[in-house]
Amino acid sequence: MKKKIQIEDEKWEEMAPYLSQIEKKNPFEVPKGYFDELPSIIQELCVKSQKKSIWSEIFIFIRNPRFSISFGVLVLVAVMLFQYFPDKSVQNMAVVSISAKDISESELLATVDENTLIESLPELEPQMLNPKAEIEDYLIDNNVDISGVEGNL
Amino acid sequence: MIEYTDNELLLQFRDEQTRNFAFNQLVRKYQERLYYHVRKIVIDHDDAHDVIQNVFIKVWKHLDNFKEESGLYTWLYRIATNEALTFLRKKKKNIFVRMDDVMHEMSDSLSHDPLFSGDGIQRKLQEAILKLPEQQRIVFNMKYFEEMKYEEISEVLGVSVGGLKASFHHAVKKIEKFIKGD
Repeated sequence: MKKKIQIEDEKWEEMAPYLSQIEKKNPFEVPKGYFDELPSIIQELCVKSQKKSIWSEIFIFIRNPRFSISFGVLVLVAVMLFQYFPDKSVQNMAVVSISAKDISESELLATVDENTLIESLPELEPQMLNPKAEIEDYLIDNNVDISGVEGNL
Repeated sequence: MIEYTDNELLLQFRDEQTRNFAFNQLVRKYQERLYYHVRKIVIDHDDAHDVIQNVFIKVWKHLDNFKEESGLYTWLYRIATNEALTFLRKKKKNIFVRMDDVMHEMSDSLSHDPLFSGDGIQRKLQEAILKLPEQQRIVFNMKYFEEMKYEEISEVLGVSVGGLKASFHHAVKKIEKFIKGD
């Protein structure tokens, strides 16, 4: 028996003579068990969407033109500060890692004022102030015949 | 299985402890009606499956803010309709593809869709419906297949009852003409 639709206040058969002859049925089908499984599929998706929403809110916040421009300017300023005012602690670390042993004696002495050096020298023994004795000692140590040069000392 | 009223489901949803249970019950209560409403718009089962998932995810996210100015079913229907239409617009892929071409493609798919059990006349009817403008198609489906009252359809679509009656009449005339073969 054909199912006739009820249209409020309208004479359906007069309005649609061909359509009124067609059996009204739902021709669309679903895979077996589809509606048994759909609730759990949806529940799982909803739980996942809740976890993502926190990150998406952060992303939306950054993506907002006002905030993204401000954020970009802050990043740029931070980079510039780093470039032009490098971190001194890095320099200090470099200095600390270099010990006195790595610096030659001559480099050390080069930084010291000559007068300060002389003043700090202990009082020398008399023979140490005698240059002739020093020269003789040198010549002997180096097996030089001192008789040839003795007259010149 | 106990079927809860919409008010009971809303109350349970707003309680953290019963939220998941309430949502599950809500899905079970409305899934078939919403699915077939969407399916009639997008035609293909896989597409309808994608859309119905999006519908219920939106429901999950926004049910807390549902103000009960309209019935819950009307609200769900509105979301489902909007999601289905959004899906169809995205299906156009690019601005050079016309919506008519999308409808034609959907119409063609009916002949080899294993999940379409209609006979020749049923397929012809669906082809006729696919040729209708968007609003007329939705109004026709809701009035003819889903047997909704004009007032309910008006709440879902935000169109006046008079406008809906006119849409439906125009839709019926065009379908009649197509089936008759003019």
